[in-house]
Amino acid sequence: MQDEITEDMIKLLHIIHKYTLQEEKEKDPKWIKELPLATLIYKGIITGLFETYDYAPWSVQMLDGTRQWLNVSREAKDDLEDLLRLGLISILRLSTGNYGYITAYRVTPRGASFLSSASEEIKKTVNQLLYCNSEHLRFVEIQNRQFYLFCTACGIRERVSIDDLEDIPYKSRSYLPKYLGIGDLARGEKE
Amino acid sequence: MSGGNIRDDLTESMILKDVRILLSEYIPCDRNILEDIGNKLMSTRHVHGEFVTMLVDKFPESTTFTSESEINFVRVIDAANSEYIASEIKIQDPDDDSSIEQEETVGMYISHDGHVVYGAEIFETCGEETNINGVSLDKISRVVVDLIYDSSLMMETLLTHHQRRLMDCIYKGESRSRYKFVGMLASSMAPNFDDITQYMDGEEYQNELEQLLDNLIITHRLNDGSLLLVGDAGLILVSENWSKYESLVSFYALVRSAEMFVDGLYHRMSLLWDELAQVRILIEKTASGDHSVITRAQNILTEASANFTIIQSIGSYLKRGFALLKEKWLSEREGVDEEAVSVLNFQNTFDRLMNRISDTDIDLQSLSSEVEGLQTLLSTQIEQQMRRVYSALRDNTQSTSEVIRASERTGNVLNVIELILSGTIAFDIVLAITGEYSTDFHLFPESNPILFFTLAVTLWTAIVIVLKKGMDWLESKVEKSHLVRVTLNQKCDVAAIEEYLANKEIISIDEEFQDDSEDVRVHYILPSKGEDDTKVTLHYDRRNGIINDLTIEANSEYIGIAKEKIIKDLQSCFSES
Ligand SMILES: [Zn+2]
Repeated sequence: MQDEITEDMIKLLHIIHKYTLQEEKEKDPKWIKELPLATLIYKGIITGLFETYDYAPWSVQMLDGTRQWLNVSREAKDDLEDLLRLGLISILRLSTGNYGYITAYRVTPRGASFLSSASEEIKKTVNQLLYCNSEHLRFVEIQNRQFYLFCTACGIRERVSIDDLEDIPYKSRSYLPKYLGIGDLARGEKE
Repeated sequence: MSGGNIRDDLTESMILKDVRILLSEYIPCDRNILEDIGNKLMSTRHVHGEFVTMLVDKFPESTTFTSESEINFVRVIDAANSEYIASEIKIQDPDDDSSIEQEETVGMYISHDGHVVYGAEIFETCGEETNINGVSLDKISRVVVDLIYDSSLMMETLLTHHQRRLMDCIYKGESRSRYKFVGMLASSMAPNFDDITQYMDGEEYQNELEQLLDNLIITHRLNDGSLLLVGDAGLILVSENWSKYESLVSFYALVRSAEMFVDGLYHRMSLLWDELAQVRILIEKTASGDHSVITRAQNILTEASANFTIIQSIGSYLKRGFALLKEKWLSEREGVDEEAVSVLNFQNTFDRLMNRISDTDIDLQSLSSEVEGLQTLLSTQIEQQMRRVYSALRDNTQSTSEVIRASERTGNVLNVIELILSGTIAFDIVLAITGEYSTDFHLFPESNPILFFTLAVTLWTAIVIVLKKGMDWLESKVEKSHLVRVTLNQKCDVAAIEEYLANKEIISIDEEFQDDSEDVRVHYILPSKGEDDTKVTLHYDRRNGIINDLTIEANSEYIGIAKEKIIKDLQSCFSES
């Protein structure tokens, strides 16, 4: 199992662990939800924490049933599936009041024991992303379709540009399928 | 990396050449709507060719119009009398980063059945010609997102007001962010694996494909060597002979986009059920006595009924549109590659959509009867509330007359004081004219001023006491009368009641004829042992034979006995049932 797990997977596991840590044993299990996790992953990619992850705009279903374009990482999604397959995390699917669904993650006992033997160096670099300057765990806040890392103790919000879609320069010409029987489409443009 | 504002290095493992993006979606439409859109675009002119803008002129009276520098231009290429419009659009998204050079020209086709096609041939990315150097899947994913978003913005300016309302209802006001199933046609892709399972490596290649297509469902090599990759969010067809598959890709993308549209419709109907459930709870509250929520119930129901009308309209458009589209597909199908149709499982996918559309009827019908039922229920509640307000108003009128009578009595007291005062003034005037008048008669010897003073004070005290007593007596009469209202709602024998009333001293009778009742209010006086008479108002429904209620006004000590007596008398009029 050890060699199947990449450094990025350990970082991902550590993030989930930090947010789902129970303070007392008898409490009901805590889960981290998909969208906040995706926000942390995005922040991790642009700050260079995750070395192998990439992101692309994705049409994400928001809590109110509408859609929004966000920068989402396919590789992270893939790694989450691998972590699940290895029994290091578990996944919960829950429905919201307004007919939507949320996926949530938490670290299994097996995942926790795996983490305890993982490199402290790696955990430290991850913590730099998760904690504010005064060592408080920051939470993801979604307000008016914008994303923030928020420290409740310091009251400081940092915007995460997960909804800033990147443009690349391109040129396109109009094209319509021939079966529609439209006449000369590229008049004056082509040739 | 060349160009763009990408914050992260792209992994560009797959390269496509000669890329065409084909987006298809369903938008509620009909011939009249299309005519309207055509007028906007001047499509009815015989000569097409100029680009026109879709800006709204806020000052139509002025001679000139200043346009913004970055706007969409539309050029109609072809249009057939309210059947379809095909146009070419130069898109300028004002939100796009202007430092990044984009020349976005897109073909747009809209048919009266609701089928909308957007097509773009990507010939340059990051300054490189895609036909020669190719373009990475990673880059093209970003181009696709830009096209999906910008085509929605552009469509928004073309849609009629009615269509925009329908779209806002389905996409909850965020129709700009709607997704469109992506069809991508390319002439080649590298790497070109013979063993197509290599694309499903669970790592690099699959991740890059799924970044655009979402979960891969189908990877297939067709007999002519074409490669078909299909995911939940889009499909890629790689073929030297790609044009052969255009109609299939276009229809498949339409059906997959329409599935999302129907999801939206279903979701909206579920929310409507919730709204109606809320109205029902509020009406139940009203029925059990909490009348404060009736306005809220009314507001929510009004809103819900409006939404229902929109949903119903969407349902009709969908059914009409897809009945026509199915015909169209059947005639188009002949030229389409059978193998590709069966690999895509297209016939089943299409049928499933058609079934879902026809199934929305079940929900629409029950929603319709629920809306109707709630409207009836609510208007009943409102009517009942109005009755209560009316009878409260009637009782209030009686209390008001009571107050008037009380103040009349207070007025009597004032009259007495006025009389005494005027007497005093009259004496003063007489004295002023005649001077002090005195006789020789003295009741007490003049020499005793103390006795005289004592007598004056005693006399004054006596007068004050008599007046005070008199006023108290008058005032006590003011508070004595009480009002009791008894609701009976008893079946009764009308003849017996009228016989009972025959020997009463009747003051007035109010009769009110309604559709289902004849309300009679008889005001009469019962002679009583006390000083005051007992006034009674009897309200009964002559047509249905019901004694509704009874209002008794009497001396506060006597009213209990009066009430018992009247009810006992009336009991003989009650029907047995
Ligand atoms: Zn802090």
